[in-house]
Amino acid sequence: MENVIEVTGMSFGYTRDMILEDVDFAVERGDFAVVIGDNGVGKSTMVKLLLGVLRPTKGSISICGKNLTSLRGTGIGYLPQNSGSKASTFPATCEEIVMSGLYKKIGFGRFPGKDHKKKAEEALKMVDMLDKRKSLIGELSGGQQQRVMLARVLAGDPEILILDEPTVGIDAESVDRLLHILHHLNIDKKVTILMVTHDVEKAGPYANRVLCLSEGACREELLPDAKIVHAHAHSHPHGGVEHIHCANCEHGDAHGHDAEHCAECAHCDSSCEHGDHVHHEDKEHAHHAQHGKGGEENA
Amino acid sequence: MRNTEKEVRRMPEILQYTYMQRALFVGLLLSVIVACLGTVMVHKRLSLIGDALSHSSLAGVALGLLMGFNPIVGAMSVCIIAAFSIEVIRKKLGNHSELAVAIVMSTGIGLAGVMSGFVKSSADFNSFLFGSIVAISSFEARLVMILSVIVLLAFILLYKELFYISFDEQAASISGVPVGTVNAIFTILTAVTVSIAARTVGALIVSSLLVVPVAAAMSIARSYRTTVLWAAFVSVCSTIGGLVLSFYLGLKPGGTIVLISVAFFLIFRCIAFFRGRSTSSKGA
Amino acid sequence: MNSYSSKKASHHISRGTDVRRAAAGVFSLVMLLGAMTIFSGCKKRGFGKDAEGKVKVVVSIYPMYDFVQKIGGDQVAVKMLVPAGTEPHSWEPSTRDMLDLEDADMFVYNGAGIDAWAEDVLDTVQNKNLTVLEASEDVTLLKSGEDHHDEDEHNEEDGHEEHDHHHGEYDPHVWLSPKNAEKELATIADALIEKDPDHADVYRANLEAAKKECEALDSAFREKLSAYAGRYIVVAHEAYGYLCENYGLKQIGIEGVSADQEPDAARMREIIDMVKEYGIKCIFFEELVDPKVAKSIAEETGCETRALSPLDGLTKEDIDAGREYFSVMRDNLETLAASFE
Repeated sequence: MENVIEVTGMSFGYTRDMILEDVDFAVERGDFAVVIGDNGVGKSTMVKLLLGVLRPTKGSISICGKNLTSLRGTGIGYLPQNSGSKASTFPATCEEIVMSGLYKKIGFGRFPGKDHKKKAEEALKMVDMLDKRKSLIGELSGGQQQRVMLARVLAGDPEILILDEPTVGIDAESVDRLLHILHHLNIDKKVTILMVTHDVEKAGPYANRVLCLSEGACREELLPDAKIVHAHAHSHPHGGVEHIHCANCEHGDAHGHDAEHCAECAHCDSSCEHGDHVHHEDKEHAHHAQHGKGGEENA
Repeated sequence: MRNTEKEVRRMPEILQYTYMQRALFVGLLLSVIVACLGTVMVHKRLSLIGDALSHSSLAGVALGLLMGFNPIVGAMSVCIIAAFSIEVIRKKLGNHSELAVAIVMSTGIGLAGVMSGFVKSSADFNSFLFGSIVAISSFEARLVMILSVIVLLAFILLYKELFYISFDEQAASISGVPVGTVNAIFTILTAVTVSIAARTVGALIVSSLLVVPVAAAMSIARSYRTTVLWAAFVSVCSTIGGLVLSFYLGLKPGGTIVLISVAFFLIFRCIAFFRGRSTSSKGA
Repeated sequence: MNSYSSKKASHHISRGTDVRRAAAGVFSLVMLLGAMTIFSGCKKRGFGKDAEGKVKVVVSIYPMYDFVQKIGGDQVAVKMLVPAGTEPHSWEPSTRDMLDLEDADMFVYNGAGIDAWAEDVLDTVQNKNLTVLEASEDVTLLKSGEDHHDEDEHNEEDGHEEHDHHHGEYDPHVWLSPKNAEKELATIADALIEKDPDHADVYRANLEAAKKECEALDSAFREKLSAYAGRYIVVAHEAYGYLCENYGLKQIGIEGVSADQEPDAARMREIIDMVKEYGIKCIFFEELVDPKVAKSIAEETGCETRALSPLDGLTKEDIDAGREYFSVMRDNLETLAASFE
């Protein structure tokens, strides 16, 4: 499988102090990658780097094989942190907001047509918000706002979807609903997803790749899934390993453990081949990393 | 008896005078474009940009008189520089972007104050800078007409981009909106509009109509599009209403226009309040 | 010790950009201050060596400057607070103007409200030697706006009389009547004689000469304007009360007694209607105030516009060109007479 995001030797700092140092990782087409790490470890900075908002001080980022210089023309969709609550004071309807996601399709200085409107409606349907399309964004709940914001991103037909803490500030039910939608996108629409979250317990079961960005010794490294066991075991001594297993689509165990996710089994089954493939690649990747600099340090 | 006769005779009177025709016409055009620009500026959290720019243009007039070039050219160029400074400072300040306006306004007032001390052959500074809506020259009327066409065209053509930038500047930039270009276009248009409008109808009218109608519109509008339309509506009604009241009751036009727009704001807030109560009671 | 210095060094490095920024800030501040010094250098303050042996007089506005100069001649050194060409209604003294006052022998201001700041300023001056003179003290003051109210039929329905005249209730432009100018000149001469009795003869002679010119000016006005008694003049602001009273004219002020007010739409209509009704052919504007309102009315009614100077201030060019009270007043007379023809 082709690497849609490939980061090699990337370092970044606003001043001489590096926030991120020598980060290597890759995300393949069809991945559902979850980025975890403590607060202030540089997760949002990394997202900005992936989006081309910031330029790496050292190293390179390539998206779909092209060296990243600007995001124009790349098929990245981005859902920023707290995007819903930031939008809530803005006097616009859901439909207007989703239409703005069609910018690239409509083009500079042009007017949206009927098919664009249809596209926006489809996107709203995907997040189950079609009935609220004429409502003001400010009148919706946090979870609904977040879904509208997601619809806006989806309207642009992204190949890669980057989400920064999409589950922050919304209730548990909305989180499940959001993750369900993302899972559906990942499986059915083959959208590659990279999601920054601290809510690994909820997001983990949907992910097939977990990247840990942590401070201290492994600060400079983005570790592939093997390391997560360690990081995860700290906070959740019971279920960590199983979740990782689930992440690699050995779904039986994971879903046995967590009945709540049984609904997703069908999806997992249907994509098992895909999942297995990824799993294989992942192992190789983990292997690499362990032989790499970070691995040694960590050991 | 005599009074009612007068009333009947007076009705079309307001349109019999060239200065009133001009005031109504220029007022109409300016209130529409100022409302459009205001919608953009309020959502960029630059509500007071009108005040900042008109005060800076005072510095421009002083500079023009000091250096010996046309004060209006000075006003316009200082306005544009000030507007770009606001853009630059706004970006640097992040969450405190509204400070950019205050900083530029203070600088403008300070510069104007200091420089006016050096201007010797100047006359009444303010009288040359700030116009009056009831005394608009034909040149100014034509200038406003051209400006209005440009601003309206830009606003309609870039409506989608403006919406996106106002809503989420970062996301807009990531989606490939030429944020810098669009911002620059509107920075220039706002600066030029403020300097021309200040010269034509007075600084008070411009800086208030940039904000108050938008605030009124935001209380009741059900979408971004209707926010713009309501803002334009409030702005136009205030201007026309203010002129009519000024004509018949002898009130100062600038102040009257501003107060009418504030009245609109209060009424709309009340409507929003009662509407909000009725929906919440329905919900409960 | 070592660790301390290295710490300091690293601190220095990490703060490098901030230091540079701060340096840039300081640099621009210095530049600004430098520029200000250069500018202010152009504007010499305080009585210099030339003033030695002369009576040092500070005046508020241009007419006072000219009158003191006319009486004092070479025996006085005069400084005007409101700079040449500035409209006095919107002026305030700076701190350096206060230094001039501390150095002066005499302060002459017009009074009646046009230089109302003078009294506030004098409260803070500590100069014990300073003689303060209100030149209009012997003049009978007219209530502002009085002259056209009484016979103005639109009077009862408009509200413009209530515009706040920030001068107070009197029209301060007393000098626009040559007779009042004569009185002000006499008041100034008396004060100078008292201050500097050694040169009393010079002052008396100068006063005589000025009085003669005033009389000549008065008779010229009388002669030329007698044919037009009862005519209306539309002026930028109601400054011509004394002139109108003396020569039988009536003024219609577009703006109140101070020049910096904006007319309202009703007042505009009223003036336009009056212009049409009385067959007025000319709208007068002032050089120091933007003539936009006068032009707008002129455009509406097909009138011409002419500049009429209320002598609030003269531009530097005018002063350099040798223009003074009498020549400006004669120009005003020509302008008025021409407008009636």
